[in-house]
Amino acid sequence: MTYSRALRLAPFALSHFASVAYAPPMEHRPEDSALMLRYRDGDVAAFETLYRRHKDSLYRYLLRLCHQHAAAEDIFQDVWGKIIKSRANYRPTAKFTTFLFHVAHNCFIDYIRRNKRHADTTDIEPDTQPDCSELPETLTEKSLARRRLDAALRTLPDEQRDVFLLHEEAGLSLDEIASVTDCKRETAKSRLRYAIRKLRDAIDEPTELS
Amino acid sequence: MSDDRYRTDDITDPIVSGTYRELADERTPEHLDHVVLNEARGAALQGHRKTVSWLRPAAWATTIGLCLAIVLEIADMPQQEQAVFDTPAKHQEESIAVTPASDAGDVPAATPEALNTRQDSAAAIEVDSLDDADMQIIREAENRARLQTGSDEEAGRSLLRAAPEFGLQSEVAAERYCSKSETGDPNAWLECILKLEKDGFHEAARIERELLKEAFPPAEQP
Repeated sequence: MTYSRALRLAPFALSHFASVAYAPPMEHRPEDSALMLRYRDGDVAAFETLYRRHKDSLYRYLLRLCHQHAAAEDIFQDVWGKIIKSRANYRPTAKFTTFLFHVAHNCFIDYIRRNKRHADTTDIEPDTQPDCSELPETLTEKSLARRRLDAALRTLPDEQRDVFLLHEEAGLSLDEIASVTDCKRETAKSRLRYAIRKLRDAIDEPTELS
Repeated sequence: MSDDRYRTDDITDPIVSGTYRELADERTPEHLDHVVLNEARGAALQGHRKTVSWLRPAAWATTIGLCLAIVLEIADMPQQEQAVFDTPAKHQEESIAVTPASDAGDVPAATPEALNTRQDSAAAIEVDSLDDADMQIIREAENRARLQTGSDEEAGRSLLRAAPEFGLQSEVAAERYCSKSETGDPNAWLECILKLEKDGFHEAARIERELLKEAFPPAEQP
């Protein structure tokens, strides 16, 4: 390495090492259960951290279960309200995510029982309905696949969709999914397998644009 | 994401998962954030209020109880201890009242005021240095004199006579046990001393006898 080349590389090398030397320490990420326990003891900031950590996945889970924004928002509030109310009795016996999505699953079932007409209506993103006749030619295969997946997700049976969303959004294992949905592990596994197969078939469906 | 699913099951399809990730980009509406976080804050605040709600009545009850206890304690305080609190001012008055009489060499007059000053003097001594045993001796001397003479005047005198036993202050100890008329005549003085001894006031008799020796050397004694 020549001297001039070494000089040219020096700033990069220095900045690289400086960034290593002055890099902030690894962020401490408190456990969900620890945050919940802190909130139980009155620490609102802990709850905010917990909420921001899980709110989007929970919202998407409910939105894709309900197909209705209003219903998803109602259930979302209901779920967090129950979490807040149950803080005094909270015991970290299971993963907080399992607890949260178990509450969400039960709230959704309650909502279904209260609103029998739920299954017949939908107001979620009507413009994303896969209508091949309206698709522009410039639409990429990737976006087509997204639309097909979305459409296939809507057509899945509730149980299979529920299991798939718990798997994808909450990141739950089969045992945890079985616990949340109150079914056997093999049942949950079977539902998930069917759901993924259908979704994969929908994604792989050949385009009719050409 | 949980690692369990990758360990125990090979169901995950990366294409389906990746496509779903691209599709699922919805975010929670802000108004929902406000609603939920406000509810959480309100619940925490309410829980805090519930926690401390019993503290305020408890604090009031404790304060009132303490005040009552202090008042009752002061009300039940013995008269003697009350005198201790009053002592400094009275002690000064006593010094003023007694000292001139001592300087004059006269026996203090047996007036109620003099008796009071003597009692106050005893209280002052108690404050300064006397312990319970000393106080007991003083009381015994007082009672003994009261029983013998039946008069408070003699009780006060007996108290003064007992003073040297406890190293009482000099002006008090300098009190004379025999009157001036008695000390003028050696025979009368000696009779007074014998009377003191007969009455059991040996220390007083000893003091008077020494004074008699000083005033009338042995050759002049009968």
